[in-house]
Amino acid sequence: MKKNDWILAGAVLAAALCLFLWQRTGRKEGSLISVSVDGQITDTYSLSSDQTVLIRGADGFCRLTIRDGKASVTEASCPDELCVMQKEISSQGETIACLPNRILITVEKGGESDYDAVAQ
Amino acid sequence: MNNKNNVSGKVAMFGCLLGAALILGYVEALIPIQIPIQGVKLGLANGAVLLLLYLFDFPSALIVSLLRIVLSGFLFSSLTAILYSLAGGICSILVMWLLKKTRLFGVIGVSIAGAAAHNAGQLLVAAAVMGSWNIFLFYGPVLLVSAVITGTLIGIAVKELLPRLKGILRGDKL
Repeated sequence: MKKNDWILAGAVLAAALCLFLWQRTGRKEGSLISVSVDGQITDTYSLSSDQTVLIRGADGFCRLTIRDGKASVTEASCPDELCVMQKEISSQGETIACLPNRILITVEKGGESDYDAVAQ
Repeated sequence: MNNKNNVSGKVAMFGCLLGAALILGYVEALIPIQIPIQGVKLGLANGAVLLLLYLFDFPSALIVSLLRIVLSGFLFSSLTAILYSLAGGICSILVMWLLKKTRLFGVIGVSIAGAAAHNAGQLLVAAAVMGSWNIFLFYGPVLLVSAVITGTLIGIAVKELLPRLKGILRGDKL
């Protein structure tokens, strides 16, 4: 490997670290789960109540389970089920994406501001 | 490959690499180690594109890359997948071509940059489709780190293959 190759690899890793730190700073527990399909928010659910909901996406569905204040996808119609393999989310901004179905599940702050999110 | 008469050799090599890229992309999906993050994969097909870039030129690599994406999309996956692959593939090949032109980097460096550009391109499309930049923050770090790892592996493979394939193109015996 050339010296420049090492520098390039280091730069990419540094960029990853920056993004990671940016994501980490100011991370707080959220209280609301918003579900969007095709970029449109379709539903919001409270993280404090245990529930299971079926989300219909572009090509199929996925099942969102909220349990003990954490949300995860427990079942999906897509063949690879990558969304099912992702770990539970509970902090603000954390996201589970199901690309084939264009479903995006995001943790929101909740409280007052969630009305804005719903009204959009 | 400096020999202008060796058009047939070039055509054969194109076909082989397109076929290889196509099947490598499929084989890769069969590897039973699943990483639970969308977009993390070895990128064997990108290796074939990188080979073309070094053996021939940018247009050849671009044509084979686009053909591979469209063909494998229709054969193995969906239209949505083609959209993501195109974004990744085009970003990747442009970045690899430009970095190669600077002559500052080796094959492995170019490969890493290509992998990173591929993942960044896919994330951009995902962010646009989903209408959320959050996706960049949450998937970006993992995808960039994985790009360095997979890019290095593919780069090493291509570096080893290049002199051998150049030999074949020159007409050396195997």
